[in-house]
Amino acid sequence: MSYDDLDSSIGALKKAAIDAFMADDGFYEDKFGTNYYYKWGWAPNGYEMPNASGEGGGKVDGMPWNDDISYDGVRSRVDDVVDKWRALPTGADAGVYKTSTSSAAASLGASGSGASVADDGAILTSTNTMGDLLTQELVASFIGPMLDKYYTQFKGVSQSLGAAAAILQMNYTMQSTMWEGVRDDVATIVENAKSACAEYAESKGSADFQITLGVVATVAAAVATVATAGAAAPLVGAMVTLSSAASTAVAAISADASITGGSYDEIMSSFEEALETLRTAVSDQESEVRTMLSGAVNAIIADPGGFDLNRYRIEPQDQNFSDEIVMVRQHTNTVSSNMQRVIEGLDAAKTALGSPPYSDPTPHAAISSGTHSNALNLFDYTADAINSTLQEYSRGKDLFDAEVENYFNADEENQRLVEQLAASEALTPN
Amino acid sequence: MESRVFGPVELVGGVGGAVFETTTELSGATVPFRLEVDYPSRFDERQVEQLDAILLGWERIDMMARDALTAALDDPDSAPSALFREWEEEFASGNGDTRDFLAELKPESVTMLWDAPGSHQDRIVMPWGYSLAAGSVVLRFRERVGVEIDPARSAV
Repeated sequence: MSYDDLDSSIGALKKAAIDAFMADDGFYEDKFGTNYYYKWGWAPNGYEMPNASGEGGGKVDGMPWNDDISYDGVRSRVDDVVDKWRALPTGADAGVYKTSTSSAAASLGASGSGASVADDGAILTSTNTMGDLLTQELVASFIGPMLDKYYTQFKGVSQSLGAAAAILQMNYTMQSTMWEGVRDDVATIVENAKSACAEYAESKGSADFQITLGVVATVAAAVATVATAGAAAPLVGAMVTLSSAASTAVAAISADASITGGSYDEIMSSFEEALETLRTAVSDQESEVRTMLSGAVNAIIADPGGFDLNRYRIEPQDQNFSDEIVMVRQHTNTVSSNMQRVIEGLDAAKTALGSPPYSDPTPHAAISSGTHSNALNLFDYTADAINSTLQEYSRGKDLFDAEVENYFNADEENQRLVEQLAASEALTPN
Repeated sequence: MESRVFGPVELVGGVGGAVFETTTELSGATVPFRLEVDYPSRFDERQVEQLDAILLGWERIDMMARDALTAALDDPDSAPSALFREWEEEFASGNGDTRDFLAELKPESVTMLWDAPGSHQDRIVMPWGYSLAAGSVVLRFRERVGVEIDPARSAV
């Protein structure tokens, strides 16, 4: 039976639990096929059985001085433990965020799926081209600072943004895939509890059902170590470490549960425990992912210039610059066009990332506290930083273009433009 | 503890198991009745009420016994058939009516095993016969299974 049949499965469990409850005291389904439990299966005293969904029943027969029995206690014991599992999400609503974050991560040269990342993405390739040209072919006082910020620092920033997107990807992969697993596990546990009760009522032997919780493997597959292309800047390193720790911790969570027992109470207690084991597994998995998400935010707060290019101050130009200037249109045009490619790449990443979910796409407050608010926080930081980096990078390209133009055509107009752009580039908001 | 049928019920014995013995009228005969309780500490008022219900509803037990005996007479190798032949010899000069025979049969004693563990455990054991001097057939009322009759002892 699947989670879609949960109501019917719970009804069957209630019936089997009542059978087991009565079997504890030697009352079994009437050998003669009436709808009663009789002592030993055939003695003159008994109680009406409930229906196939465990409802009703309990009317006494053969003991006129006795009260009817109520099976409400058994029914409510089942409901009490199972009610919180009734309205689980499917994870479908988290799917769109898995796609958006994974796409943003990929365009920023990172992956959260455990796959290795090639270093041939548009942003990294164009950055490398422009860096090579600035290093090898052009000489001027503004080249050094440009290289430092728009090549060296920028590579780290774009990788960090990618790593953050990859961490978000892992969160939404987990949330979009785990709930089918949890639903299946709930259905399996209920079904096994029903079988254990039925088996006990049938034979009075001890039941022993071993269960493997599928959600554990599903989440372990979703939480991997972040991969990025090229050497990692410190902030990227911090995010990789956080993801690796989460991945290791999640892989260590036990998937074992069981339904055992040689009496109604033992079986029901082990049923309660099995669902609690499932709840603990989900809660522990989410706790590890929350730690990863909030750790990433803390790392970003500690190194704002490593995450948002706008927060990294460009170095001042060397006052004692005395090298012979080398400016070649062929190369400066290439630098400029590659910077434009980077801008387009950043814009594509920003569009791919889109907006975060403002309400939890997989609400499940009765089970655990979820990862939504931590993910939302990192998502907001990342979206803001991509946008801010994009704008700062655009200013950087404008500054480069103006400096070049000023070299080839040093007039008042160009001079003023350079000063204006340099001033606006240098502005670093809090 | 007080039974509506037996009056005060005192279990004699200890932790390993206890017994209550009395004499009572069942199935139209006065018979020794022996109740065996493996877990005397669990034998409480509720259990005595259940015992009373069985005793007061004994016609059902009686009916199950007689139905089983009647069915067994269809099998010439069964113990009731062997007993019938004995009775025929003694009372009907080899030409007896099974209905007359069945009317003569009654329990000679009743042993009730209240809580011995086992999912098909004997719960009521009753030898039935037509005369204490003659042979008897043993009826076992087994948990969930119902009535079984011990086979005829094979002739040497």
